[in-house]
Amino acid sequence: MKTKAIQILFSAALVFLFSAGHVQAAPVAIEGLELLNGYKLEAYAVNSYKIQSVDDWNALADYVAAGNTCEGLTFMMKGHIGSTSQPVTRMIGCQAKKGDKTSRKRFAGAFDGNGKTLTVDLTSADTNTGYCAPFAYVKALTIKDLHVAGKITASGQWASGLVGSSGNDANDGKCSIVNCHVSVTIISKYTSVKNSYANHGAFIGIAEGVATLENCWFDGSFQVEGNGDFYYSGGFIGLNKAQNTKFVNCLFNAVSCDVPAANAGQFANSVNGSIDKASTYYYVTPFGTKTQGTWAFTTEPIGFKTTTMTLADGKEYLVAVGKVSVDLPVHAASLLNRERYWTTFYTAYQSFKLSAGVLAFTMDETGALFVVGNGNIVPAGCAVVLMAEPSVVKKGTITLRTTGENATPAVGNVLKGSDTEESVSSGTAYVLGVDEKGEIGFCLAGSSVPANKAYIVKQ
Amino acid sequence: MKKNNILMIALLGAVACVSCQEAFEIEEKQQSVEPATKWTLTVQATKSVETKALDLKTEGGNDVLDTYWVNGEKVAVFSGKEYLGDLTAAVDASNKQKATLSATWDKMPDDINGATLTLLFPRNVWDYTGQTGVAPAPDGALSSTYDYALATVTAKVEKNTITTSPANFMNQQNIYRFGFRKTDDKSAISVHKFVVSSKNLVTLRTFDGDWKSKKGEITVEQPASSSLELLYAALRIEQETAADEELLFKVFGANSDYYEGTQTIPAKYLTNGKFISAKSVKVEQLKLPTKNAVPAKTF
Repeated sequence: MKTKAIQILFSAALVFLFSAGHVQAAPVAIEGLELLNGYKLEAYAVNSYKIQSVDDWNALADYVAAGNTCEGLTFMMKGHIGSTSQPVTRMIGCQAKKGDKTSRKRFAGAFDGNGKTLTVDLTSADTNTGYCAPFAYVKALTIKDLHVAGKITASGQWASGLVGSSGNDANDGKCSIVNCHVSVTIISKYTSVKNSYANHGAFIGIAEGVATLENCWFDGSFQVEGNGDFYYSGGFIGLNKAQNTKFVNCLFNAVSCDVPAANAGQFANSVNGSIDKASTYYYVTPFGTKTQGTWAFTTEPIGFKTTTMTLADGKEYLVAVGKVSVDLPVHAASLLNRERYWTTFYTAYQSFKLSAGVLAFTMDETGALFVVGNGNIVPAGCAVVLMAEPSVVKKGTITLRTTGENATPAVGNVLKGSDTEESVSSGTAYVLGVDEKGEIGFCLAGSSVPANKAYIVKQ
Repeated sequence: MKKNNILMIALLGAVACVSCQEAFEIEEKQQSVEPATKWTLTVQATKSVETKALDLKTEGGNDVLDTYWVNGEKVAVFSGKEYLGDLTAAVDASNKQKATLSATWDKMPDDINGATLTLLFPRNVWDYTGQTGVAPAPDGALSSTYDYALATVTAKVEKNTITTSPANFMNQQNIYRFGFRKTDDKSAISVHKFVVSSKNLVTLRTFDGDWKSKKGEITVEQPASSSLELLYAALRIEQETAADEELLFKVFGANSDYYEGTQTIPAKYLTNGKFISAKSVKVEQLKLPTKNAVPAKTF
């Protein structure tokens, strides 16, 4: 009797397990997403759809422009979209006219780049058309694993390589950007006027809701055309109106960003907004006038203590953890019948202050020396000749101390410099030294010039 | 009986305490009614020609220094190592080279009677740094800050009034006027600032009963709003034996250009109080030549 009961229970258990397995294995009917005019995106999971072509992207743009937010839907790129020859030219999201937030058609889905590249060539029509970006208007959006390449040409404000407007106000949900890589060239044709500044940013034009960026990096370029500028812009966020915007392991490593950028922030230009104090963000290329984040270097910099870290792009950098004074060897030589001590110096990274008795000079093409400011500052990025009175030379060196002060060098400085040793491909390079008679001057340098020294090149 | 004893001790203690309090209060009142002692110090002071560079005027086509006191000017008084305070000048109505210097102070050293007092015009710090190059004028920084004159007097006390032997102030530096020209084309240089140094140039003096001098270089820098071509400086050259003195100039032009040069001041002019004009000090712009030669040593 007991044995029979056990057999019945065992059989029941088998039936249950079989039934359960059968339910899990049964195919679920997932359907594609029908967009406008019968265009359909293929599904890959429930409420999840593939973006596989420029046509798919354009159809999604039309769908959002028609007022569909796509909230609760996920879109995943299944291949690279666009190319240099056939780039994406449509933006997702739009608004009827400048400043009319109520007319905005915003994308509120989730976008998974799946490690693929979206190549764009986007252009804003005129100065009244802002937010030129692949995702022009979004709300509570999550974008991850996306690489955006190509070109953004902005006639208006708030251009970006990824998101134009990340939210209408602080009540909008969180805009989360994770593992995204922007390498677009943003070309600003917009000329800032008072209270209407460019406000461009590599990742977001304007952030108004909550925004977080994690493991994101920029290695594109900022350029201008005509009288365009990047005034009041940000390396990542052009205008940050959101509170506690957070950067987690983000990296700004622009190929070039030498543009007019008055009052721009290295990462964000915050107006009534703030950056979370726990942010971890790094920059290789300085941008703008507001320093934010931590400097990272590709070669050992002079004047900094560093530690090696792997940053968002997966590469190792020397990240600054402090500043240090620099002791420079100097050499005696006579000029105008007085013996002084001499050397040259250059670094792009850091300004230095000199002690009394040491002067910093730039030089014009005749060899005439000009003091830099009051003569006691070596500005970052300015190659100089240093001249020390004998009384201040200790053990054959002078000490340069890091400073936040700056000085404006005289125009026409022919001295050049580099933070790395450089080969001279054109012309003849000269470095400071003494000839066989012991007379000081710029003498032949050979085929390369040393790091952190000033030199001149003559054709 | 025991209780009575305790009460008696407590009563005596209380009476004693009240007595103490009364005694202290009386003492306090006595202190507060004692009148404060005021000391009056009066010095009859004179400045002769070449004692104080106060103003520049032209006589017979030459600039000379005019010397006189101005009401309200200050003179610092030292007794031994101690700085006592400042006297204020009241000019003699009939002779501006004479003045009565006076002050009223709350305290005075016990040994003031017969003491030698050191009088320093125009302030209690003797420091030549920070000059701006403006011409001597009664209200100018050169006169009110850097044109030091010194006198020593002996104090005589009668009650709380101190008088002294007459004070004849002697100037302690020369006033220089400098202009700079390029050695090559002789053109005048628009100077922002210059730094002057020499073997015996004094930057400041300190007093610890004796004056001690610190030697070094002096910077004369115009304010950003100023663009004087001729700059004035008060310089004290302190030689052990009289000799010509070579001044070394580092000249910073208004356009960041930089020059160096020297000017020798003959020994005969190095008497304190002289006005020395050197309008054409020759200086040369520093240049580094380019050499088509392999360097023997690189910097």
